[in-house]
Formats: sequence, C-alpha cells, structure tokens
Amino acid sequence: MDPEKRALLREINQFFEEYDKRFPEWYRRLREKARKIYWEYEEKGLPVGRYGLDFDLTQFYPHLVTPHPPLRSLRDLDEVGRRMMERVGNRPDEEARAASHLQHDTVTRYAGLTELGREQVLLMHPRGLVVEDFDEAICKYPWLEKYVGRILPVNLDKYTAWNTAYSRGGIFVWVKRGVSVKWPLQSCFYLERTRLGQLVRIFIYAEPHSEVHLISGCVFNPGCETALHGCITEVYVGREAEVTLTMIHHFKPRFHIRPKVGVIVDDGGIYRSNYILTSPVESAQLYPTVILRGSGSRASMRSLLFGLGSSDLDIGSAIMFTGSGSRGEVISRAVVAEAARVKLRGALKAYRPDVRGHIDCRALLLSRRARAHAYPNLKSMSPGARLTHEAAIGRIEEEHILYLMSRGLDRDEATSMIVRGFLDIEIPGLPDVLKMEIGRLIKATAEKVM
Amino acid sequence: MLGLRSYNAVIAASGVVAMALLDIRDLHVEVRGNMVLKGVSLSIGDGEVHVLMGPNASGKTTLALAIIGHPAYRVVSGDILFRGRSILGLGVYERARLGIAIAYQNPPEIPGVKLRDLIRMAGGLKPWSPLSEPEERFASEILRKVGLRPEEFLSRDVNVGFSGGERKRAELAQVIAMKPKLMILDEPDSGVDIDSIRLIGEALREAIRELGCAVLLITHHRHILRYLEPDVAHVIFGGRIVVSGDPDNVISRVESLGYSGLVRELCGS
Repeated sequence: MDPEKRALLREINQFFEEYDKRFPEWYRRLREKARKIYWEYEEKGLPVGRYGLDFDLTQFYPHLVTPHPPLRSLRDLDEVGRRMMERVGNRPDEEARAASHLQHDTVTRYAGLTELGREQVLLMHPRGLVVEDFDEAICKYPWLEKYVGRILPVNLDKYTAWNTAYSRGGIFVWVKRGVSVKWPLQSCFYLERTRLGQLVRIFIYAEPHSEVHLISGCVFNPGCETALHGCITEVYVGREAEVTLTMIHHFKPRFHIRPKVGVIVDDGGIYRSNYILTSPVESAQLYPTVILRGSGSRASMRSLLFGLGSSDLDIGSAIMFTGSGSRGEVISRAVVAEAARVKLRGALKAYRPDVRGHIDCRALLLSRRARAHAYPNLKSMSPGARLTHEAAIGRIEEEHILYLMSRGLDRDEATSMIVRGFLDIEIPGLPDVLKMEIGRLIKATAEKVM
Repeated sequence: MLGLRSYNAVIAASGVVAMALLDIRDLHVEVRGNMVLKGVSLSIGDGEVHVLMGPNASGKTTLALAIIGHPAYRVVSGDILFRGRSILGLGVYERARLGIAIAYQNPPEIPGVKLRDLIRMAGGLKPWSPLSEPEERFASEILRKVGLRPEEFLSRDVNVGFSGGERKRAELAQVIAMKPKLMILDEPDSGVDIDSIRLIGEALREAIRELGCAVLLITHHRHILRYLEPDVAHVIFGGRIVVSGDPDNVISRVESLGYSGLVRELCGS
C-alpha cells in the first residue's frame, strides 16, 4: 500500500473511531474487524470482489461531513431533490405510502410513518411497524447483535468489508408479528456530495405472519460529479411472512454502485425482489443471495436493467434451497445499448430433493458495440431437485418491427413497444400500486432510450 | 343491376378515366434474387372486393407484401399507384397510414406486446393506461366484433399461444382498428375450422360494410366467399395474372380443371 493511501485510510479510521463512540460494544467490534480486513485487502493487494469491475475504493471518501438538517416533511426538500426522488419511485407527497425515509448523503433527514401508515397500521397494532435510521436502531435495540452482519460475511469481498467498516445511516424496518402493511414503505438515498462514498445499510426484520413492501430508490443530485453508492441489505423473512424489496437505481456515468444483499427466509415465507437500473453508470455489481432455509419457502428475484452509455454491469441473483419443498426463480431482462457491457448471472443451489428452481435471463442488444454475457449456474446436491434455466441473447427481430410498422407505427414507436414488451415481466402477488409504479418507470425509461 | 365490375367496364368503355383506388402496373418484384412477380397488373376501385387465387409459390403473398412495402420484396420495375399517386417511395408505416392494411397469413409472436395495446396503436390511440381510462373500450369492442373474448385476449401477448383461428381473428381485429381504405387479407381462412370461417366471414362482411373499404382477398377456398360477394376473381400463375373475371365462373373453372389445367386451356393446348 502506498504511503498516501495509508495516510488516507488512517484519517478515515480516525474519523470513524470518533463516530463509532455512539455504538454499543458489539457493533464497534464488528466495524473494527471489517476495517482490519479491508486494511489487509489493501496491504496484500488481494484481487477483490468475485465479480464486477474492480476500482480503487479509496478514491471515494466515506468520512466527508455533510451537514443536512432534519426535515419535518418530505415536502420541505428542495425542488430538485423532490424531482429526483420521483424518478426512483419515491413520492414526496407520501401518497399511497405507509412510511418514508430519506437519507441525504450520509445523514438521515427524515424517517417515520406517514399519516396513512399510522391510520392503517398503528390503529390496530400500536408499535406494529418501526421505521428508523439504521444507526439509531443499532443503539436502541440490543437484539440486533444476533442479526446484523450475520447473513453476508464481512470478508465476502472488499466492498462488504469497506461498507461494514464505514457505513453511516441507512434504514431499519421492523414489522411485528401478524402485522400486514399493505401500502409500500419508501426510502430514498440521495447523493449530492461529489467524491462521497455513500455507504449505508438496509435492515428488514419481518416477524412471522407479517407483510411488508419496501421501495428503495437511490438517486443523485445533478450537481454531483462522481460518487460511490454502497449498501448492505439484510432481510429476515419470518415464518409465513412476506417481504418485497424493490430497488430502483438512477445515477449517471462515473458513478459506481455496489449493493450487497443477503436474505434468509423461514418456513412458508415469501421473499420477492425487483431490481431496476434505469440509467448509465460507471459500474454496478450486485449478487443478492437468498437462503431458503424454511420448508415451503419461496423466492422470486427479478432484475430489469438498462445498460446505457459505457456502463459495466455485473448483475446476478443466487438462491440456495436448504428448506424442503422450497421454490425459487431468478428472472433477468437487460436492454443493452450503446457501448454497455452486461453480465447476467443466476445461481441455484439445491440441497434438498423436493425443491424446484428456475433461471430465465434474457438480453436484448440494441447496438453493435453492446455486449452481453449470461451465466446461468445450477448446482444440485440432491438427485430429486429440479433446477432449470433458459438464457437468450439477441437483437430485436426485423420481422417484428415490420409487423408493427405495417400497423402504422413508425420505426421508433415499434422498437420502443417491443422493448417495453421485453421488459414487461409479470410480477405476481405485487401490490397494484407497486406494479403500476414499476410499469410507469419502465415505460418512461424505454421511451427515453429510444 | 350492374355489378361493380361491369360498372367499371362501362366507364372504361365510355372513355371516362376513373381513378382506381389501387392501380398496379406491370409490376416485377424480386425476392432474395429470384424474380417472383413477372409483370402483374391489377386495378381495384373504391369499395370493390377482389379475390386472388393461385397455386402455392405463384406470387400471391409476394404481391401482398410488395403492396405494403416490405423491404425484402424489391420492386424491379413497374409501379403501384394508390389514389393515383405512386407509393413506391413510401415506407411500410407511411403506406399503412395512407390506409393500406394487411392481415398476414403467418403473423409473428411478439412476447410482451399486449394485443390490446397493438390494436389501440393501430387505431391511432395510445397504449391503454388504467389511469386515463379505467375500463378499456376501443380494443374490447373490436375484439368482440371478431369473436375474441376481451376479458381473455386484451392482456394476452400478440399471437403468443394463440390457436390458428385466434391468430386470424387477432389479425382481423388489428386491420379493422386501422379503418383502412384497402384491406389485404392473406388467407384469412387457411388452417381454420368451418365455424371459425363463418365467424371470420361475418365479421369481415360487417367491417367492410361499415368501413366501405376495398378488399384484396387471397384464398384457396370458396367457403369464405359466401360472406364477401366478390366483384372480380384473379388467378395468378408463375408470377403473372392469367385470368381475371366473374368470380363464379373463374372459381368453377379452377375447381374443375385445377390451376395447371386452366393454364393449359388458356394457352390453347
């Protein structure tokens, strides 16, 4: 490690030693461990993440001070901020949302239930739904020790270590037993400071028989030149509980995205995830991993990607079937334009005889310079397990365009209709609000791409 | 009573030049290096129904696709006039917007594109959005006309998993939505059971009456003609139209002699 970097890391560590004083002992230890691991990564020059474009994390500073005062309402955010929020499925007016959370750079400016949420949930179940800043929750709830940092190992790769060591803020969602939150919660991670490493955590704990849907949108302020958005998401889906996590990312070139997601699903639980990337970025890598440990548990993971500009995307999902009778599917759709490169991964690992899993990855290439790779990966430890996959990469068929054109659509209209259709994958069981929101986003982006 | 054809003949004889809706003049069309149409001339007036028959690979579909402007069907010489103006320089969608609609013989499956939205786009509307229109009306009504249940077919992907008859009806629905001046129907009755033919035939008759459009119908069978009462029948053979005339007469001769027999008879051998 060169002396300059060493000095920088020392400076960052010093800042966080001060910052960490608020945390309980166990969390401080976890963070110190992560810092050591990261230091080792740098010291030994280990090749880092398993997947995705490698870049120097220390060009982004996780310790910048970004003083943003708390907001009394999301409406008080400036107009640019509100407009950007809307692009990632968040609603500043909080309509049709049960709770909201807004993190501006490194500061949680707003977190709490909306009026609708209070009416619908708290009336029946006082304290049934908790939505807070993650760092605050760490200080408040000692039981988190058994859950935080337990799904994804700290040393999974350098990004996980870096994120664990230097995260600030994030959202903490706790749904109590039997509470079913019909309206989605929304959280927005808003990046304004150039060169900031925005490292956050999302933690969802859904107790048995509960239901919750979170829309997490991550977006930039147009003044921000370059930044890193990192996130560690941990989701616990209790017995017969249902969790949907919809992540929508909208950034611009010279932004790196490294979200890490780990999920554990108990007996009869259902986990659904939708990942939507609607803009060009420098690089994005994610590989959410779900462990279906409960019997009869289910997971459905969908990604919709727009590979634009010179984006380098490495996006996959993995499901491990360790519970008997568990089922899961991974569906990815990528529209690859300009000089973007997209790797679609999907992994299914079966450890039980009566499980079933399916991968479906498709990419549509819209330009000569676009590149796509699909890596479906099946591993079975049990002869009875049924794992299948299909993968296809191709371009739009001219016959299809001509067919639509002979109905009076011009070439652009026809292409955009086909692209929209390609991305239109049924998401069963999703609340209608969410379905409409996703449909609207896809439509808007597809039209912009054309 | 004068049939339309005799009416045209009278006009032609009287020396008044009637402008035909579609006027094809000595058309030569090449497909992947093969000359398929070798001098086809055909004129369709407003509101006339023409039947085009011929053996397989004689150039029926080629003629249809050349009229709509499919780029793989290259016009080498000759001209296609629509309302007196050449449309050879126009693209597929421009011809469609002029009022030329085609129901394909083998339409492609397009996953993800909803039949509802395609019918609406064909009719010049925007794709359906529940926000602006709680209940879809335009496409539903047309689907009902062609005997497809809207509840089932509105949100189906275009032609994906459709049976033969459903495909033909879906094609018809799109064509009707376009409110064309000229309908080109490429074997709307092939691979379809007799009940479906009746349904398609009746829907077609109704649509033609409503729109007052001209029709170029390509078919091998007599059944569907019962509903359409064609004015003229043409037989195309080896890339040329060999016979045109009164439909009953032409079809009976085709049925009794076969295409090659008919051609032999015409050649006098």
